[in-house]
This record gives sequence, structure tokens and C-alpha cells, in this order.
Amino acid sequence: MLLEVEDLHVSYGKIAALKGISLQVGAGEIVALIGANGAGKTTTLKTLSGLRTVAAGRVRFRGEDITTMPGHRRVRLGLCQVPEGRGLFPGMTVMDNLAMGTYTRGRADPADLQRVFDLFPRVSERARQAAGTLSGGEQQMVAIGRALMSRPELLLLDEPSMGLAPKLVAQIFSIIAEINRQGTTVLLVEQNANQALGLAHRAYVLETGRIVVTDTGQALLGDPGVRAAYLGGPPPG
Amino acid sequence: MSILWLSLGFGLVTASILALSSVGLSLQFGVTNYINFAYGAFLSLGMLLTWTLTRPLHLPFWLGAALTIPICGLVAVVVDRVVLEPFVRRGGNLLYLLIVTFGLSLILDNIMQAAWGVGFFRFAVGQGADLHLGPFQFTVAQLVIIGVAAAVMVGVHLLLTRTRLGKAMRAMSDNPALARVSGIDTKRVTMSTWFLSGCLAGAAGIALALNIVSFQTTSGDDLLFVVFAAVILGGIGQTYGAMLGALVIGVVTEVSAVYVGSAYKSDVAFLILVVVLLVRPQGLIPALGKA
Ligand SMILES: Nc1ncnc2c1ncn2[C@@H]1O[C@H](COP(=O)(O)OP(=O)(O)OP(=O)(O)O)[C@@H](O)[C@H]1O
Ligand SMILES: [Mg+2]
Repeated sequence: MLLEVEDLHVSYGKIAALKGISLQVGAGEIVALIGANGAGKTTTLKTLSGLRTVAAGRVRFRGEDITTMPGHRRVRLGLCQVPEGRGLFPGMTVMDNLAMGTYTRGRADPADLQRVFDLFPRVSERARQAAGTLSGGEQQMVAIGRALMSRPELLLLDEPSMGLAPKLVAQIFSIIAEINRQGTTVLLVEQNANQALGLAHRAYVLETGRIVVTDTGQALLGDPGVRAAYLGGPPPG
Repeated sequence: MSILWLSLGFGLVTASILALSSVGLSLQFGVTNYINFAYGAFLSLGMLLTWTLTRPLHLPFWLGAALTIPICGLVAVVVDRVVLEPFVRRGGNLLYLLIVTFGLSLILDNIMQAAWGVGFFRFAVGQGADLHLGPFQFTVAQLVIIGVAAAVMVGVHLLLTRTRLGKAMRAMSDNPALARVSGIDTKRVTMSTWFLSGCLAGAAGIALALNIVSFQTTSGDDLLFVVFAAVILGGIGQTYGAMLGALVIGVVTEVSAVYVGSAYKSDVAFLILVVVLLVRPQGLIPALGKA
């Protein structure tokens, strides 16, 4: 397993946000984490990238225990997060944002840059512009592009479709599929459960800090309970 | 006419001192996101340390100044680690931190008064000969101040644009959480920033003392509000804005002193600030990143 999370507890002061979750992500998979607002999805990703400290439990990445490893060292291991909202540096140019992806490795490899531009042609047209002046969709592309520049083993995406028009959502999801085909493992947090389950090999459903269901994406799409709670009604037909 | 040129020259000197101090304050604000009211104490510390090293301890002036600057930097790092960082770690409400730095400024001033006493100090070096440069007239000391400030501004520009530390500082000021998940060791960058900020304050203090010739234990605080004016005028947390704000405030206050009297310099500084902020509430150079 690329990532193994075992009985993870995380709190904000007295409020327990994660009450013992366990999950695994295998190399090459797309795994989705879905759940209502406040379920603890963002907290899970922040803990994996080292922004939150762990109260109890263990996180192993590529066999190494990284539970207490400082966040800035996890990038080198191949763990890269695209945070919720616009995960970029708004005052920096698009180019500088992409360059920040290779901060731990030094210079950016032209091949990595070419790969990002191939995935997101729009980004290359905006290269010299301050990232904060781009449209929401373009910003999300830069945010994902920055993460790809770090050559992640595991990409942690926190609601990449948030606030985007349906057409753009479909585009972002197909790009995530393409990134995965090129060999990057993805842990995807989404509100947009329908599309996320359609894309994911496997998925976990999080409810107030606990994992309540896990199965393949397709099985969960057909699960009546999941449909009622997260997909807005019974299966079509 | 010649009085105008003379005051314009003074303006450049004041602008240089303001630029050194505002950039130091602004860099630290950008990275840590709270205003340091104790900054004036670091200016005072720069003056007093240089005085001690060069008067009672008889070091040559350049050596005293060269030693003072990194010591101020180190003191700033220690103050951050021991006093401020614990508040930040506790989920630092920015308002608390403001009050903490305010209290810190009182404490540091009192420590310095206990150590150096209250009174007037002056460096062993004077202002040097008067030199005429075109229509301007400067003393040697004033030319050194302008030269050092210009060199430091170029240095800060190169630091921010060409070095890993500079990129990390810009990234942290833009989006601290993303900076961390991008692999930036934010603790180290914060410490480096405090060091730089302390060094710049120390250098600005020495320049101020040279320029006003005779200074007191807490003379740094007298400049602090004008420094704030320059920083806010430029667009808070914007390093290049701080440079521009320093230039505008420095030149306009000195030139206006000819017409309205030098007692009103700070009033003029704040008048400029108010007028500019009415037209451009985000300062001369608005930040894209800051909320
Ligand atoms: N900084 C914080 N301080 C205190 N409580 C917090 C903080 N951040 C999150 N929480 C709480 O932790 C719980 C989980 O929050 P989290 O942001 O992980 O949810 P989420 O599943 O990402 O929700 P959403 O879909 O709205 O993004 C919530 O109850 C939230 O109120
Ligand atoms: Mg969330």
C-alpha cells in the first residue's frame, strides 16, 4: 500500500474532528473521500500533508511512518496537496507558482513544465500573469499544475471542482483521470459525489469524523443509502 | 531656490533612513502577518549598541556598526522565538499579538533605559565635510546613508527575486498554508525574516543617529509612526510599496518643513497618508494575496 492510515484521531482544541479513521490507498489508484460539510474531509487531507498534528493513530507512506514528520519534508517523499479553495500564490505569476512546485528539488525540469502545459494549454497562455487575476477555473488549473511540478507519488486533491461551472467540472475530472493514467495516485475529496464516484476505483464515505462505508466507486454509485444521503435520490431507472 | 534643493537633499536622506526601516518592518509583516510595535526599540538598540562599541569600547565606527547590525538581527530572532512565537503557536489571534508587541516595546524600552540610562548620546564620528553635488549639498555621513540605503534596497530586491529564501518569503506572505505543503520550512524562513528585520532596524537606527547627531535612549520610537505611515502608504506588507512610501514621505516631509516649519513633519506625514488612503485605500501598491 502506498498510503496506510490507521485509527487516526485529530482534534481542534476540544472538538474531535476525526474519531479514528482508517483507510488505504494503493499505488495507481484513484480513491475518493466523500461526505457532507464538516465531515472531516479537509481535516483528513491536512493531516496527511502535515498541517494538522495527530492526537492518536498512525500514517504510513511508502512503508515509512510519517505520523509526526513535519509537513515541509513530506513533499520530498512524493506527497503533495492541492488545498481547498484556490491553492495558489495569488501575488506571484503563474510561472512562479509552477516553480514553487519544485521548491524542494531546485530547478524546474522543462519536461515537467511541458507536461503541465500539455494538460492545461490555458495555463501556458497566462504564464506571465499574476495568478490571483485568473478566472476560478484557470486558478484551479494552476493549483493542480503546481502540485504536478513536484512529481507527486500521491496527489491529494481537496474539492477541485468547487465553484466551477459544470463544463469546467467535467474538464477537471477528465484531467484528473489523465493524470492518474500517467501514473500518479490520487486521493480525491469531493462534494460532487456523483462524478467523484464515477471516476474513483474505490471510495470512502466519511460521516462526522468516522468512515461509515467503503466500496468500489461503482458499487457506491448504486448503493441506495449512499444515493439517498449524497447523490440526491434513488438510482435512475 | 537653494533652500528647496537643500531640503530636497534632506528629504533623500530621511527617505533613505525610512526605506531601511520600512522595508525591515514590511518584510516581517509580510511573512508573519502581524504588525510589530516593538520595532522602534530595535532602532534604538542599533543606536545604543553602536554607541557602546565605539565610545566606551573604542572600536572604529565602521566596525562598531558592522557588529551592531547582526547583533540586532539575533536579538530580533530571540525575541520572536521566546516571546512572540508561543503566541502565534497558540493559534495567535492577531489582535493579541498586536498588544503583545506593544507591551514588548515598553519592556524593551525599559530594559534599554535601565542599561544605558536616560540622557543624550552622540557618536564619535561627526557628519564630515559638506560636499556639493550639482545643486545638492550633503555631508559625508548623509551620502553614506543614501549609498547604503540604495545598496540595501537593491540587495533586498535581489534577495526576493533571485534566492530560494526570497521566494520562500514571498510564498509565505502570499499563502502560508500552501507554503508549508510546498515544502517550505516555514520555521526557518520565519527566523531568517526576523533576523533580516532586526538587521535592517539596526542599520536604520545607526543611520538615524548619524543624521540627528544627538539621540536619546528611545529615539527609535520617535521614528516608528513615520515608518508606519510609509509602510501603510506603500500598501502594507508590500516591500516595494514600503520603498516607495519611504521616498514619498521622506521627501515631502522635508520639503514641507521649509514652508510649514519642521515641528509639523509628522503631521505632514500623516496628512499625506490620509489623503492617499482616501484615494487608494489599498495603498500605492495593493497586495493581491492578502485578505
Ligand atoms: N480551524 C478549526 N477550528 C475548529 N474547528 C474546526 C477547524 N477546522 C475545521 N473544524 C471542524 O472540524 C470538523 C471537520 O471540518 P473539515 O473542514 O475537515 O470538514 P469538511 O469535510 O472538509 O467540510 P466541507 O465539505 O465543508 O469542506 C468540522 O466540524 C469543523 O467545524
Ligand atoms: Mg473541506
